[in-house]
Amino acid sequence: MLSLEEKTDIAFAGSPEEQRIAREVFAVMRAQGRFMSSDAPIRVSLDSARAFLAQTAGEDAAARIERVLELNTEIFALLELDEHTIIETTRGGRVPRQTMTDRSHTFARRFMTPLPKPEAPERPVRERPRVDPSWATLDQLLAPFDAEEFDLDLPTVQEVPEPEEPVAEVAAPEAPLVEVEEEVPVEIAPARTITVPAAPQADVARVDDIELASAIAERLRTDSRIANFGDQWMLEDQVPRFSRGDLRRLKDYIQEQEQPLTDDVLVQDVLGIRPTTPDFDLMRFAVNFRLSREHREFDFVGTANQRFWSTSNLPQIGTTRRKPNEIGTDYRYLTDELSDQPAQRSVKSVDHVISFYEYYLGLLPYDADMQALLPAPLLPNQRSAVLTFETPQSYTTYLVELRYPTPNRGGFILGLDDFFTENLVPGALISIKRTDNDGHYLVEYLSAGNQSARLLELEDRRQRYVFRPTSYACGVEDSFLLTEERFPHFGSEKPLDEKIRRRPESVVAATFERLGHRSDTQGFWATFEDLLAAVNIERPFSERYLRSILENDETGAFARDPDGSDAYTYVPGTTS
Amino acid sequence: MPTQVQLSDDDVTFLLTFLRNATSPVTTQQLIDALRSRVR
Repeated sequence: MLSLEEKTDIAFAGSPEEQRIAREVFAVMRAQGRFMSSDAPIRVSLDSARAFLAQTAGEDAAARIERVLELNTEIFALLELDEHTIIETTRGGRVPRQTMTDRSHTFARRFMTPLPKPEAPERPVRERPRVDPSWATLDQLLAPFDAEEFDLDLPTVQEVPEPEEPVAEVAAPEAPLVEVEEEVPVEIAPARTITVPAAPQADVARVDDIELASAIAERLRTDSRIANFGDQWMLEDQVPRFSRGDLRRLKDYIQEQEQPLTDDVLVQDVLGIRPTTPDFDLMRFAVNFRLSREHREFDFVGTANQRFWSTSNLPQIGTTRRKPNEIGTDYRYLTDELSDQPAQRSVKSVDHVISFYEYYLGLLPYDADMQALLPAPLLPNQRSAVLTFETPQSYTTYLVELRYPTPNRGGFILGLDDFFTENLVPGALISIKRTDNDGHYLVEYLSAGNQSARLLELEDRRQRYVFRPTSYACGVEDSFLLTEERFPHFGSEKPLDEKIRRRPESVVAATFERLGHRSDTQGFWATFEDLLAAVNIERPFSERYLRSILENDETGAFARDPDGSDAYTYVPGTTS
Repeated sequence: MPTQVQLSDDDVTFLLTFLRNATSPVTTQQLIDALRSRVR
């Protein structure tokens, strides 16, 4: 506890006795105001002070109190309040001062009467830079270089009509006359305007949706503010961005799965966004748009409805018996058979007979029929598309790769090896149907009762053709069925040398010899039906392509057999 | 293939505004519908 003794060192006036009386009066008054501040007035009535002195110091002292107070006017003061005489002092031993509260400025009044808003000073006039008149027109700019030398092919130039004078003059208030210095007039050559042909207004009411969609794509795809992928559009700055870490995770996940993955799978499995969340569509678009900008890391191999993404070092879909480039070269003839203005996805289904070549490599040709069934590339430089072929009869879905044709190579569909070997034989008839999803197709074959025949096969290990007893339960096109009864000479034959099979005419010639039907004129003959089935063992031929070779051979080795209904002859030694 | 109809700058500005107000990707058909509805 902190105690502070208050020291009083007050010099009272008067005789020693009067000083003692004054000290006692002061002491009792201090006791009265012991809790007051040092300069607060302590008030005690004169009567009560006198009564106190009478009790403590005697009547004599009480009678002398007024004299004592008169002697010590610096310490005590006498007031008349309500007909009572009051002694007044302070704990500091001084007569209390009269204090006046200054109410000229109060905090409350300041809030109640705010000052008016100070007026903002006027902004100084900013000087505008003026272009030197010699830079104002093209003529004056080119004057030092003699403009005629350049022979500029400028667009139409029109004179700008000068603005007309206002017709009605407004009566302006008369301004005081001030003498103004005459400005020196600056001669400026009349300005010339270059009329740019304005883009015609899009009359969207008179054009159909296809043309309007084309106009939108043509204009917006060149605009860097707009993000586009396939049929979808957004503002570029509203598309979420991915960090390098995100892109690496996406790439690693595709490589772990060892197959192309759709954007749906990537968004869910890698980015962890569920399809039910509102951001799912946005993130899926972000994946497609952002990955399409990463040409070195990712390849788009999807369609509009099924957007597959691949990386550069994924294992190839389909056969490894022959390189895709070599297959594309084999199908080169298809580039002439495709339509220049294809109507993709214009047919609902396509029927196709599997040839030996297609069966062995597990593929289908991208011919005119397939072109009408399958979708076009979604992106301009897209080389391939991964599709899903579902076979309801075997409850299996195959991931196949459609290789689009290039100027030098034909297109084809890889990845049907297992489906063919498990269910079909060469010559089988299949049907491919489209679905609402342009990346998903149904493949069916004709179911038939169990049949057995000795059919042609190529032994991988020995690389020889052999006939083996085969059971199958699918519908076949008899003209394409390679049975031993029909083609007995193919047994134990070796595949043609690559140099021979590179030339279609040589393959046709070799096939005539393999068929082994000798004619009377030192040559061979064969029906077109047999030839078509047999030439397709070594390399693909369409009916049209084979017939064009037989009909238009420059060496004259092949000729139509006048005796047969649809047969051709071949005389050896005339082809090289 | 160049098309007969061309979008004007006003059309592009309108489509930009339309895209700016969209919270998810917009299809080409939706852009076409927006252009046509503006004419009406």
